[in-house]
Amino acid sequence: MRPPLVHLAFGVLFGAVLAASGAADFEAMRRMLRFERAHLFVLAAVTTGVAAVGFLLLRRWRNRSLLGQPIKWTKRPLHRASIPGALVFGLGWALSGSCPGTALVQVGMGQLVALATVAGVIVGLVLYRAVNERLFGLPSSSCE
Amino acid sequence: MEPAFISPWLAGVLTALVAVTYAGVTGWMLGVSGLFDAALRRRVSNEDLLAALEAATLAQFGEQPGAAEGPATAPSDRNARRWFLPGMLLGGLAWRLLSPATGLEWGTLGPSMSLWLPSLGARVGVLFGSGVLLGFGARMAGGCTSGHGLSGVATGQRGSFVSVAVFWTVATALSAVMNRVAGR
Repeated sequence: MRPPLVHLAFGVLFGAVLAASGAADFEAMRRMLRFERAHLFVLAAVTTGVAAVGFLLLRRWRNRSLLGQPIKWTKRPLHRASIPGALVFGLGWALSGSCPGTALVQVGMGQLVALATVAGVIVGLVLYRAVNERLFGLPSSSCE
Repeated sequence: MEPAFISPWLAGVLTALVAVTYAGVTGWMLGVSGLFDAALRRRVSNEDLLAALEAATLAQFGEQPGAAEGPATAPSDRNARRWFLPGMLLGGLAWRLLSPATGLEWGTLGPSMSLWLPSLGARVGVLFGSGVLLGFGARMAGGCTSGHGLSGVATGQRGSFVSVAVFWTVATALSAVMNRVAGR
């Protein structure tokens, strides 16, 4: 299978799981952020635990992907932009009840108003790149 | 009618399996805002070439914070990963077509949003502004809920633990304030 199709297929799987689990549901997300329901907390905890074991095993068994690329174990060190960046992100998360990925899933589910969130994410990314280059000069890292 | 979600235990296992298998098959760690960022670049930009050169140099002579381990990635591989984004949209569509949920409307994300923001214009404005905060903040913090919250925390990254703690705290605190002040 060609690489773009492989990435597309994984995107479909991830999007479908986010939709089916309620992670892309605005009301479910709001209930989690208000500590009204444990559903998404359980989801986050199980995901992290299983993924931690899975990544550990993958790291022991393979250093190249099935597509022949080296596996990129991205390092995410703490830097001086981490906390202010997370603070800004948290405000957007609470207001929209979405994150960049779930906004796309919402559009796919027919909630077309989430196109505004997607457009905002794109503007935010471009804006940060411009502002960072001119003003901050902070490490240019991203969510890879 | 509220959509019927699958068990969070099953969903958690499935989400983790997708993330780990994605890394094993493609070589990339899952992180959606990074994918957005990659998609915004030109097809084979100077930035891609410089990043590839930098990664190869670091792999040969040493590492610095934020650098991926291993040899450089071909620009064609970087381009292929952009296809993940339309895939997510199609995944949402697939679930919509297969699920019995009927409560989803095009102009709102849910009843509580319609109550809080009665006009469509206000909803679009708030979501756009929130999106700007999400994109700006994710890029600044070096990750979002998937990059930090899933891939980063599961691989024990210090920056991810701190970022997740901060954005989770801020989001729950703001939600509590909105709930108390405006009843939303």
